[in-house]
Amino acid sequence: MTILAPIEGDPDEVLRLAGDLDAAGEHLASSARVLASLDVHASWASPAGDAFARRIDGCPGVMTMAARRYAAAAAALRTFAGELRACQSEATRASRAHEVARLNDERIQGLIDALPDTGVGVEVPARAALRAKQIDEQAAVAQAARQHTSAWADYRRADRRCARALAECSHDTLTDSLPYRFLQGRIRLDERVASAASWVGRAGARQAALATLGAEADAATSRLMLAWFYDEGSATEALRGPATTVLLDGAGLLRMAGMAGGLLAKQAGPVRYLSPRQRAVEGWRDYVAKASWNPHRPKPANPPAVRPHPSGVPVAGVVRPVGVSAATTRAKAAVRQSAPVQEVRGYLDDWAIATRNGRGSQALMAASLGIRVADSATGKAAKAQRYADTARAFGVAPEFRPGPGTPPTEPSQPPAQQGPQAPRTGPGSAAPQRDTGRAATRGARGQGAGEQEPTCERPVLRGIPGLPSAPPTYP
Amino acid sequence: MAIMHISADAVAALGAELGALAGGLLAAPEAAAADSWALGHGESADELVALLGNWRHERLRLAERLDSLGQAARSAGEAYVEVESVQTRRMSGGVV
Repeated sequence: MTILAPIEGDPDEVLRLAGDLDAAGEHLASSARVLASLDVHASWASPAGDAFARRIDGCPGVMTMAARRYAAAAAALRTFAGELRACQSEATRASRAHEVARLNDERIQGLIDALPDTGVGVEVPARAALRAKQIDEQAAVAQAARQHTSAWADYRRADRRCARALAECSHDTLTDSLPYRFLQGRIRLDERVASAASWVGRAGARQAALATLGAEADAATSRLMLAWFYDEGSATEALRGPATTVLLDGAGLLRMAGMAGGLLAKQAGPVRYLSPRQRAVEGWRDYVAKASWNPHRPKPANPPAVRPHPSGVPVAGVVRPVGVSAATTRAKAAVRQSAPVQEVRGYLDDWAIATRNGRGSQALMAASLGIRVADSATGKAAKAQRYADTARAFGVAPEFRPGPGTPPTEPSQPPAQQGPQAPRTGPGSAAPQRDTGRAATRGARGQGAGEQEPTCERPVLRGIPGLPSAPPTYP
Repeated sequence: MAIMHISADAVAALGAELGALAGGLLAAPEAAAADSWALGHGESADELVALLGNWRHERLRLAERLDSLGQAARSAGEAYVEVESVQTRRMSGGVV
């Protein structure tokens, strides 16, 4: 039984995509026009405007080129959408006709089989008529299959035409150069290798470590080259990944080296005093044996059962998902809450072992702890900086710091109104957070109730491919 | 002496617009790649993704510059609006 496959795709969605591309292109083009007109001092003629115009420097050209690219792509997609719709409808029609004719053929064959056998060389008239009809149906099946094949051929031709048209849009100076694409491809490949290192490491822990470190080092090299030759990213960011890996592995190694040859404080027995080299070797071996990237590491024992709180009250701040029992949620929350305590206890136990091993072991342990704390603090500081940058970019960071003589701000301002794009409709309404000081100052100076502040609203981001679909309007 | 002709609202709106444009430029290829299924499984879907994603370097540079220009224009526009409203109140005899 043959089933004719449909042609995949959605012409309506293609048209929507084309519309979004058109809108994005128009948006880019109109913004480029505004920037270009600023260049000739149309609406910002002042020394600051001159300085701004000098900073524009080439942006309108790139934006116009991108707008042209989007518009050409939208036109190609529109043409393709029409052809896709025609091909799909032809293929669907052929598929239905094929299905009907095939079922009729089978039905007729059933009727023929049900007729009584009249002997060799003798055929009843009914059988002959049925055979004639069956031949017609089989011809219809073949015809439908031919139509379907033709629809698919049309689709492939249209697809190739569209692909060629889209490829022609790329023939401009915007397209990335070959070395740049090579570096980006290398980074992507290295990231995949690093994420699959534990799979690579099924051959052994050393291979896994080498794969991870090698991939990270190679990615860092590519990022460094991007930073140097293309001014993209920074050398610090490029080196952060492998440096963190090396530092954390080094911290783990130092910790294990500090404990090498030691015994728990509660256990009695002789302590093996080792040379620094022996400690490093044993520590590395112990660290590799337990490292997360080692596929042969021993599985952790089941965590001890956590008794639920006798009051039966769920732990504060825990949201219980539907279908999960309260006891499970409480147990998981308790484990999560006790994790930092367990970590500190682990370090204290290790410190006790290092103490019995001597001052050298203590130094190793302290160095390990210092690296971990420094890494954690650096990571948190970088995260806080990223949050602050993002908040500043979206205008929600409190940039205004009230001086000693500034009146306090209104505490009842709703948080939804905070932000530079929140409409400011008058002195009675809530002002954005960054302007709280100014707003309070204005309020304290008795601003008139009838006055209206000028508004400046950010346009709403809509549509694909990510650009605002509405062209900008300037007052 | 500096001669000034400034549309403060337009400058502030331009700043907001440029910031939004920069954000959109950063998100464009991912969004298009998510919608390329609509073209079927032919060559054109891959070409569309390539077309919108193969100018990463210029796109990132443009987004960075537009973002920086947007911030500059926005803060300048808001400052012009602020100064203008304060001066208007002062000139019209209100308490500033």
